[in-house]
This record gives sequence, C-alpha cells and structure tokens, in this order.
Amino acid sequence: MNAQHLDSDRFAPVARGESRWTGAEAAHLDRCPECRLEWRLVSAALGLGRPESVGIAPERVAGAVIQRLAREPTQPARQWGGWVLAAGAAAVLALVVLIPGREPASPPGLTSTVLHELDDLTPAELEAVLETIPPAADEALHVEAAPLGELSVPDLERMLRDME
Amino acid sequence: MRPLSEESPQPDPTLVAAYRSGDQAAAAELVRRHAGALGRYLYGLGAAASDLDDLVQETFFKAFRALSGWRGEASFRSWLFRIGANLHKDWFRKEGRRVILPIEDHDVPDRSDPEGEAGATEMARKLREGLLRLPRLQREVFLLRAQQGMEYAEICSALGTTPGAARVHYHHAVKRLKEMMR
Repeated sequence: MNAQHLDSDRFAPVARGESRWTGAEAAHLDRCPECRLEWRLVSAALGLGRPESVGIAPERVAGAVIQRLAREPTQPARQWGGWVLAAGAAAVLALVVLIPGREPASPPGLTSTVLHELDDLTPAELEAVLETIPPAADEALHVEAAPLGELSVPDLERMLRDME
Repeated sequence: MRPLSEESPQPDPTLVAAYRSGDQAAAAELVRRHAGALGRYLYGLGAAASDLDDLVQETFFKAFRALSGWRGEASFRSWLFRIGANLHKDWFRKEGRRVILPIEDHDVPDRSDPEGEAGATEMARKLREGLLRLPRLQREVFLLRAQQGMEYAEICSALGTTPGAARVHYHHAVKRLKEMMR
C-alpha cells in the first residue's frame, strides 16, 4: 500500500481468496471510495462469464473435440486457403535460397509486408510453413539462434524478406 | 506412460505428452481442465455467449493440431489462451461479426440479494463495455490477471511481452476502467 491507495496488485489475489487484506488495508478500503471502486471492478472481472451460465460444458466440449480429432486426423484443406498460399510461398522461397552462392541480405528495416498471407498465421503455423523448407535451405538461413516459435510475426516476415 | 489416474491429477505437460503418444483421454482431460476458464476469458474479450462453444472447441482443436508449436516454455494454459485470443480476433474480422454486449444473467453473482444483484449487473455491463474500449493488450492483460489470476510471468509468456510491460498494461487498464465506471 502506498501513502494514498492500496496496491493494485493486491486486489486480484484477495478477490480470488488466495490472500487476505491486512487490518490496515481493510481499514483503508472502508474509507477510500477510489479503492472500493477498484475492488468492485476486480470482483466484477472475477465473476464475468461464469462457465455454468455461458454455455460451456467442459464434458460436452471435450467429447466434441475428441470426436473431431478422431474424424480429422490430418490438417483439413479447407480453412487453409491462406495457409496453402503461404506454404507455396515458402516453397518458392526455398528455391530462391537454394541457389548456390547467394548470401542473405542484410536487415533492410522495411515496414511493408511482402507475404500478406502470413498475417493471419500464428507463430506455430508459421513455423510449420518454414519446416517445409528443405534442411539445406534451413541451414543457409542461420536461424538457429532463436527458435522460430518465439519470433513474432513481424520478425518472421522480416526474416523471410531477408531470404529473398 | 502411466495411465490417467483420478486420484493424482496429472500436470499439463504430462497430459500433452500422453496425447502425443496417442492417448485421447489425455486430450479430453486437458479440455475438461481448461474449457471453462477459456470460455470466460473469451467472453471477457467480447465474444458473445452464443459463440463461445464454437470458439472454445475451435481453440482446443487448433491447439491439439499445433502441439508441435508448444515447447513447454509457456504454460499450456497461457499458450491455449493465446491461441483462443488470436482465434477470437480472426473470428470477428473474417466473419464481419458485430460485437454485441447484452446484459447477461450470468454476470449477476448473487440472486439472493436484489440490491447487490442490480449493482453487480450494472458493474458487469460497464465492465464489458469498458473492456472493449481498451487497447487489446490492456484488455488481455487485465483479464488474465483479474479474471484468471495469472501472475505477470505467466501473462508475459501468454502475450509475448515482458513482466514489466504486463504490469504497466494492467495498471493502465485498471486506471482507464475506473475512469469509465465513475
């Protein structure tokens, strides 16, 4: 607690029952409308969208997910219109980087997006795209310093631009 | 791999490894464990209650299909929530859906107290409205902290930021939400 208000980081643990107010904190809360507002705010957040009321039945969801996993054991072709484009783009890039004697470009600091199809992909999906590049090409990229899954989408796009 | 045991709950990484070895019961347990919290989180982000079932299912399906992308550095839960938040963002963008904020009964915490009920309903409505007016990162950090009880270290791994930045986002979110609720 600072001189004026309770520490904001105390509200969530107390609201969840993981901690309790000290006597001084409770006394401050009683007389401070600002802190009471924050208490109501955090309490409301804690109760927002209770699962028994918003229609999430974990058992039912589990059954549906398992059924779907069993029914679709491989990646469906559907939703991957952009995905397929991205994979194609990765294959083209692989051909480009496999050309002997070609050095990766220095970081250009560009702000435009070369492969817009990549915008919708998560890092994991992007990583899967990049895994379609043959090992020899992968070595040429010198990307082992940072796991691809840890890179942000802009970083991955920048890396792909460097490969061109 | 040991079979699942009800007496000793398996940690998430163990269940993930079991699923990768072909144990579908492990996947079901992960869904049961996290579906409710994920649904509440997506609801807080602005998803309509009627969309939650589909969003939660899709999030788990996508997560299980992309398990190779989970390296265990972030918790399974924070990784799952990240996928869910990305799906939610795409859901509205691609479908052109409008964000609707009905006053929903489930935001009322205590029906035995009519006065408290009315106040809680009003607070919940203002909170949902306020959350949608926050920058996305502030909204996500606030929910992960206040609704889900995550520590900043887990939040930063879920959102790809630093603990210090997550703390700043949380405090900004609280400040702005309080201003909106006065």
